[in-house]
Amino acid sequence: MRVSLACLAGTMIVITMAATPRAQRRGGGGGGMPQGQFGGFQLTRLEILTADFQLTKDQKKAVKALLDDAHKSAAATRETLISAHAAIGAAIAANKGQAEIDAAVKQYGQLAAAMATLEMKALGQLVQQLDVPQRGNQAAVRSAFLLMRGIFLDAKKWDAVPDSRSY
Amino acid sequence: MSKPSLTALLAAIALIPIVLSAQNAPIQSGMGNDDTGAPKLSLDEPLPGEKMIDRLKLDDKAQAPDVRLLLMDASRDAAPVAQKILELRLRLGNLALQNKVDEMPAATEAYSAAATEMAAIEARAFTKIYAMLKPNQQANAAQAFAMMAGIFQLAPGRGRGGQRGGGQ
Repeated sequence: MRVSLACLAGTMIVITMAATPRAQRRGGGGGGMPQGQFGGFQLTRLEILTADFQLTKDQKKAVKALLDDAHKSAAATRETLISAHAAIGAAIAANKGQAEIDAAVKQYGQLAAAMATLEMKALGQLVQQLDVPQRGNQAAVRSAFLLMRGIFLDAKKWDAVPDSRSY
Repeated sequence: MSKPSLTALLAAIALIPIVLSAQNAPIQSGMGNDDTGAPKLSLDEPLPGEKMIDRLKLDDKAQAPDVRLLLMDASRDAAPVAQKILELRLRLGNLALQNKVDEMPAATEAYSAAATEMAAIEARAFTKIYAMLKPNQQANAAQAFAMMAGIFQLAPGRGRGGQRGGGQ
């Protein structure tokens, strides 16, 4: 009996070890475990879109190309947005008058709106790449909508694991 | 080979197909069905407010609790504005999905007003925080304020709502 239990335990260890690589590729914590636990990694935006919409190879390529272009086009808005936010902080630190702070805040608000518009336009273009059944996947569309927030904030790339950066 | 170990070996062989089928399962995000597709807030990742407190090297007893309270108050003020911003993003998103580009400028303008309101809340909170800082802490104020961008709004890496895709 003792030998049998030992063998069974050994078998379970082998099963666990064999299953681990796949579980890690699932974006962390497969089986309902919280992400980050056991060192599981998360999916990038493109990986999430690919999985949610079940993109074909060609669609994935097209989505990547259009978001690459949109990321490049958003560069000027991103830079001015970040500068405008820093200007608010600088105005506060320099103890500037309320009128100057308000002006900086207003400019930032306009740029935030411009960035949000770019993100939503990119979403519209993305959805145009999809087939009708894919467009009808409301959960995936909602997921894509949420994924777009801050997608162009990183100067280097948009296809990263979404983080807590915002604007 | 003893009888018990033979039984265990047979059990192991019987389990091989289960292991293989588990490995052939489609790769998924690993997130629950109640998820948005956006990643969950990592348990290891500190909240933006806590990151800011760290960056400013605030005193745990004398300064940090006041800053936390201040951020909570600001967060309450910001909640309706955050809701408005989300609604306006939805409007923009729907217009983009329907390819009604000509109707987007009006929504963008409304978004601008809401984003200005939100930025004003962030600025007021930061003004109060800045006033609490000692001269040596003020050196990191710019970086700390950068961390406040969108702090009172729902961001992909900060929270969830709705369901993740995949199902029809």
